[in-house]
Amino acid sequence: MLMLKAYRSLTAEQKKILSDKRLTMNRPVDEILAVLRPLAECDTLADKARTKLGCTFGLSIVAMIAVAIIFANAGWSWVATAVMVVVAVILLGSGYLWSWTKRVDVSNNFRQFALPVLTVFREDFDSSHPVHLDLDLSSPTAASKKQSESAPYKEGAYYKIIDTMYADPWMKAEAVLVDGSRLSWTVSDTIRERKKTKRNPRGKIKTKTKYSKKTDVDVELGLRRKLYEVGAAPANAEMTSDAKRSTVRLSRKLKTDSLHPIDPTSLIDLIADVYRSASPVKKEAGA
Amino acid sequence: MSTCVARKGFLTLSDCGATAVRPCANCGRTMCSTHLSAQSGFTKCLDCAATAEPEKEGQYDDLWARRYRNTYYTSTGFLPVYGASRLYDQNDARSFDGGQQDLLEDEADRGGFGDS
Repeated sequence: MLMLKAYRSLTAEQKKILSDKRLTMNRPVDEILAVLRPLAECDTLADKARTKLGCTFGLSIVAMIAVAIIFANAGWSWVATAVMVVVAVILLGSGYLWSWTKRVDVSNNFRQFALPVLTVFREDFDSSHPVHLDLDLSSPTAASKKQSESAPYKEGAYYKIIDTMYADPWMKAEAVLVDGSRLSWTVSDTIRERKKTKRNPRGKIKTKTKYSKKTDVDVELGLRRKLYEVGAAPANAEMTSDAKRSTVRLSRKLKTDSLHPIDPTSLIDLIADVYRSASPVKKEAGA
Repeated sequence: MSTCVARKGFLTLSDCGATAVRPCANCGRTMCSTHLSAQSGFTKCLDCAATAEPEKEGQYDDLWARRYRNTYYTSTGFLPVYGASRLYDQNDARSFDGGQQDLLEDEADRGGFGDS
């Protein structure tokens, strides 16, 4: 299995990150990426395998029951015992691996947002300064992130609706860029999980779970006044200046109707907007 | 010894300047090992490989970053800072092209016997 091979090739530090689902690093970006890339590869393989293992586990439960019924009626023999043993091994093996892939699973925000952002800015980060990175890799709807749960209420056909709110501040980063600028950003999600239960015309009880997510992306970029002149700051930006730097703070709120990670471009755009608003200071001739 | 002529960065660009190991098989520019694409067997630079190699979903490596940079600059019009100015490339110059009208004006400028 490729997934197990990928997991075995991880270092003790990487395995600890998977089990703790927390990453706090203060290292040059290349070293951070060297830790993150194998983790992302392992997570991709585990995600793909989990679906197949889940299906195999489900089918083997059905097969176990079917085989037991068939052989109970047809009579037991060594063939029946062998088939039962094979099905039981598949059932236990797939069940164990399926639960293991769930245990090592990390939030998709890691693979589909954090990793692309760090890769894009890799050459912008000053390699002589460490990047401080704090990532919460646990599920956005983990029990520890639960904030509140509403009392059940009715609406339309649904006789029971429960809203649960989660707060997930999952990314924080600080870095010094090659031009001496100081960049920091945070990304946090507020999630509403709505469980709606209704009785359909045939009397069956159906429950649906829907997610709604608000993401706050906050960026702070301190540009060196010696190198940049910040003219009109981007719309909704806050700007402060001291003798050395012009600091621009920008925020963006995004709303999505799923738990899928947001597009990394939403953060890259915010940072690029600050650079757009700045003009490089021309060096005087002979200076 | 020649130096790598790749421009590195995303928000700000700077010349790589590292010792070049070979020229790109496609564009001929001299490149260091960091700016040659591993997917092409270190024969093409990242820029050439980004256009030639098919994108693999979910693979966020240097080649992906270069592809993303090219697409981002083209689609958003973002001009990175290069030295003490903004970097304008061939695409920016082409955006001023007037198409057929430019061709007609060029024809008219060709001059006749009276032109010196």
